[in-house]
Amino acid sequence: MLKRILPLVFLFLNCCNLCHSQWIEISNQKASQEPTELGGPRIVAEYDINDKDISQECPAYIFIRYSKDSGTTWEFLSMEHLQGNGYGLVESSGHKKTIWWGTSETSFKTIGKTNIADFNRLKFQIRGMKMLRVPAGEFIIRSLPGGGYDESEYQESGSNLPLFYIAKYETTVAMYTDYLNEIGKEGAGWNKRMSNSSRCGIVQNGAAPNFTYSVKPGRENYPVTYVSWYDAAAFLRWCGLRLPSEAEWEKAFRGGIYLDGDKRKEHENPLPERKYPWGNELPNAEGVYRCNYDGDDDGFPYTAPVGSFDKFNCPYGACDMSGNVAEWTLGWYSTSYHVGLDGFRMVRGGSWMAVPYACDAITGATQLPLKESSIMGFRACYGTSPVRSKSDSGSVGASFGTSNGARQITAAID
Amino acid sequence: MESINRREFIKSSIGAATAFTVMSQNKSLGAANKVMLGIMGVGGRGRALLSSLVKRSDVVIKYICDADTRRYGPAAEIVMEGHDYKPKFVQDFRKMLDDDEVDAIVISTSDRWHALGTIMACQAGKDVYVEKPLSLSIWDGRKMVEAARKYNRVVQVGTQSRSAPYTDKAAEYIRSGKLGDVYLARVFLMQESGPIHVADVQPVPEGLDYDLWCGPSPKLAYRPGIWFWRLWDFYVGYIMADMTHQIDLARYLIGKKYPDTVCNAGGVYHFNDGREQPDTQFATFEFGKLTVLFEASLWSPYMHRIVHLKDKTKFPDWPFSATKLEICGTKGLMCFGRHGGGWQVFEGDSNVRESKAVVSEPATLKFGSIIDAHFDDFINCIRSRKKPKADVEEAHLSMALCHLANISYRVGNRKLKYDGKTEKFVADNEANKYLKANYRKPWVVPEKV
Repeated sequence: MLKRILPLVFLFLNCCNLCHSQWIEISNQKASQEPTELGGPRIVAEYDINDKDISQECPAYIFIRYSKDSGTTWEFLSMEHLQGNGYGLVESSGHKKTIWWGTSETSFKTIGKTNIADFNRLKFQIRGMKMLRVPAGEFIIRSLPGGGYDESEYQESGSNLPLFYIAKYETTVAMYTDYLNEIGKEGAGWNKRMSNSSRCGIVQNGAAPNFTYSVKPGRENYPVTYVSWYDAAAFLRWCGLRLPSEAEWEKAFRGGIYLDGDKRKEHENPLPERKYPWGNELPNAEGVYRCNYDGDDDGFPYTAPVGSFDKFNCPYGACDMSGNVAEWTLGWYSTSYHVGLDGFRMVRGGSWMAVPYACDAITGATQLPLKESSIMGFRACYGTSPVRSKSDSGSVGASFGTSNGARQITAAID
Repeated sequence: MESINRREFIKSSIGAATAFTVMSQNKSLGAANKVMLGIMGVGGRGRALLSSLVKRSDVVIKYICDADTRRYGPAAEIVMEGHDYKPKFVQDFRKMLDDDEVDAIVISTSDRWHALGTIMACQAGKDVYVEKPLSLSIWDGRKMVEAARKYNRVVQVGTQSRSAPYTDKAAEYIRSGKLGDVYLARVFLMQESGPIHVADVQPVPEGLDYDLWCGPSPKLAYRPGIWFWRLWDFYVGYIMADMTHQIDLARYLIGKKYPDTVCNAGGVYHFNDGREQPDTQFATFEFGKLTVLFEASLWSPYMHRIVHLKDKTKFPDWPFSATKLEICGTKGLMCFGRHGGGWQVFEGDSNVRESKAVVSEPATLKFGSIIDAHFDDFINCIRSRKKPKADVEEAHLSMALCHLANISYRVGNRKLKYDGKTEKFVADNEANKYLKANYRKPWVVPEKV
């Protein structure tokens, strides 16, 4: 018998900040616990999403993090047992998107067993990131993932990739600051250089173990920099996402042979071997500045706010893959000298210090994973892992962050 | 012929203690002056060196140079972060050589440019830091030494382990005779590697001067990646490119120069990627009664490279150490670990049939500190005009052993007699053909430097 309904209000997000930081604007968030007829109580979260761009081609990736101790510690809410129309890839904006889960059948189970007082300490954060659909199919790859070094054999590369989604924007200062305010109370994930106001702009406040973080005014929408490969990977795990492989990165940059994928084949890519997102003209051809590269002729001596060159996006709509910050990928670059050590990773895409040529589709650089640089950032990817598991290949390649997405991506493959 | 002993060791010219001084012909840097540098080649290794150099307040990075302009950004950013200025970028290294303000050139290109780049820099009056492997042939290396001497230049090679403090202590231990007479040194480089992938031929990317990039090596069709590492005309092989560090350490410890014979065993056994250089090499060198054995492979995942050890009580797991040396004397066995592994000496007790460590010298090092110490030596030598610990001639003698093993392989794994005085094989025309590399005009290492 159901004896009580527990009303809950526990969402904190400041919607005004979100719309400027490249989190998707999410409003009217609320949640409650409701009885069900047969399945025990369930928690229902609702929100509105107000973004005209959200579509099948540009879905919102929605994830939830929760705290059982009034916001002291937070965890990712696994999507495996969620229900409703408001989590994972959400393909339309609108009022009252719903997510619910039964408290006895999910990873949330332990909370369902707690008493009323404990339950009232629950807090939730719903966040969303704009993603771009990259349909399954052939594309032209001109780089050699991993640079032809050892570990590249363990990366799924080739010229045909399954469906995946890539973030429209590079991860911003504001997004990363939100992350730090959850996980960085002891200082993890932050380094002093991040406070550089012309190249990053994240300030650490207070003292351990209660550090907080704030964004220098006006820097919210700039790409985060000075992040190591591990920082990037950790942020994306926090979201339930991962870095793109080099092949994924290059396909998102150039587009497939057919932009609507190999199943439909109705929309042929006019320039499948394009050098730059917009075509083959140099970034500064005819006095038009198409991306943020070395110097300030393009209007930006250092990084530029993400989306500043949105007339020159990639075929699926990704912004700033050319220039601004070079982007970490999953690609390993390991010589015989470094096998067994934690080897180099590949970054792609040029930066605000790159010559125009280096902002093309194929130029990559090797970087040690601990490198924290003012010219390097990252963007998110969502899809089945491109890295073979150790049991498949005997490799030492990492595989992470994909289990939550696997169910949905399988259903969506065309 | 005899094994080395304490007296002979002292006579051997290893280390800075026996280095002689040469004065600069062109200039003498005042203590207050900063050393003006240009760096040639800013791929991964070049950027690692830059990261060390920008920690120093006594140098200025005036130039970044690379045939591939696309490498400018990541390299320039290191200088900007470390020194807060943007270095000039040049695609052709000769522009750096023409600049009188430049004191020294750091060469961190691929191997094919090491010899000619060093020689041209010496001719231009620049001191040189050049990465290993030093040369593509024994003849190249000798010409580099000749150029350094003719133009009174400091030429330091990137065999950094000579600058690790615990290396000197190990050499001193052997020199003192505590290990007894040394008859055997085993030099290991057994590790795991992977195939070299070869991409399709593609148009040369914009921003890359491919002709300059190829330099003295053949100008083959452009492909991305490191396909060229499979070819003798570009590379001494995965094994020898790294073995030069190991053998240089061994030479530093045992104080030997030229072997009487060399005999290689092995070949391309494991990888089917078209590589010309062996993935398996076991080579024997006879230095009189002292034998040096190389044991190198690229298919040994159970062997592990040493990660810089920070705990003074810990040493590498010696049996599984990929980059160890074993110096076997009549009293004791020294296990020496590269990359900050420290060293231990084991002695046996025949009564109980046991051996145990009697000396343990740890190496507590911060990552990168050996590179920093190596550059300390370079900059100090630029000022003092002394020879650096890793002087070009020492590196040449070490690299020659790598070439000798490769040549033995290339002539069918034959045992070859070598004459150190002439740096030629004794009555062996077939082997002597490999003493000199092939060059592509106009990038030819000259007979007369």
